[in-house]
Amino acid sequence: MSQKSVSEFAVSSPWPTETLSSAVLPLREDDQAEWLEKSAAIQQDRREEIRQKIAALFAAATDQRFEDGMESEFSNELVALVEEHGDAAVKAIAHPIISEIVSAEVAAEALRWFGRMDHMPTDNARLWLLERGLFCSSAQVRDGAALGLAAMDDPHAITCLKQAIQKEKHAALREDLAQVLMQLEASEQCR
Amino acid sequence: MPLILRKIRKARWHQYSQSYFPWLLEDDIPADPLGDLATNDNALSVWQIDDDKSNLPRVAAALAANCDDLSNLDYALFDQQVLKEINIVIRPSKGNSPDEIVNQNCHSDLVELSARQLVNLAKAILTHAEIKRISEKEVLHLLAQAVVSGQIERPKLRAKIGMKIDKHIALNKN
Repeated sequence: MSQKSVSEFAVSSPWPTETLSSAVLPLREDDQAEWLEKSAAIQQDRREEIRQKIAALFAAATDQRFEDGMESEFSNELVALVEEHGDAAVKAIAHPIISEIVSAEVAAEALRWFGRMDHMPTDNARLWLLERGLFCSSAQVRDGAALGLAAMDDPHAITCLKQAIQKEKHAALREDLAQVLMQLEASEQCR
Repeated sequence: MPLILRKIRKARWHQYSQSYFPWLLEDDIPADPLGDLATNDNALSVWQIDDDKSNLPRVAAALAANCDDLSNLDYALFDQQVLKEINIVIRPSKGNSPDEIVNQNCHSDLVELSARQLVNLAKAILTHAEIKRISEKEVLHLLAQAVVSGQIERPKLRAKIGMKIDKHIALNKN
């Protein structure tokens, strides 16, 4: 599985590719330019819409209580957003988590569910974010990232986990990271 | 004397030092762990674990079976003697899990709790408790065992967990 950086996550077009090519080809140069401009504006609107939805989701989450194994309004909406908007949603959610502008509790909860959700089209993007989460400054967020990686059970995270274990200062968290590493190494052997 | 188990979120209980929270006064604790000690009618639900921890896997399975989805299970485990030292009253009561035996024999409430006692309990847990994590994979295994042995009735599990347990049992049969 190839890994991407967040900047590489393109917002997918609102139309299927075949519709685009058949629509673009017969157009004159001027019309094409106008069409591309409109298309970019639509994508910009869509990104803004996703960004606003995510801002509202994180704002509402600060009043919620999270418990292991229990769904919440936050987790249900988070999963629904990713299923609807794909990598664009992951990219938009990654920003407040990586910039550490949301509470550690909420960021950790988001990472747990990113690992748990079953949505193949965003596997690479979610894996990238979980790996990045291992290096956030909050121990709680790092723990959420580790739990997300354990739930995802993707051995591609092994290298990152090893680096995170070397860097981890909290003894208890280091043990938990090592437990996840053992799990992923065992999974790799089974594949 | 038996041990007392309370389901927690381990990350809230990391042994934070003053270097982590420079604003924390000496002999004080951060507030986040109190989030795991939410009371109802001034009582706190806890589970009793045998000295030799022989019933720990069964209680853990019962707790996991109460969830919407499979997850890791974090817990704090401490000697019941700790409760005496901080004058907390423990009263046996019926638990609320899909395992009736566990509900009858292993559940208690810490009752007549004041805010001060709750903070003392959090301090005692930070000082004396064993804070552990059972991974999601282990939880899956424990739950499957509990279903196969009849400790937990399959229809009592919620949809997502039930499907994962069915899959795990089927895979291990083949």
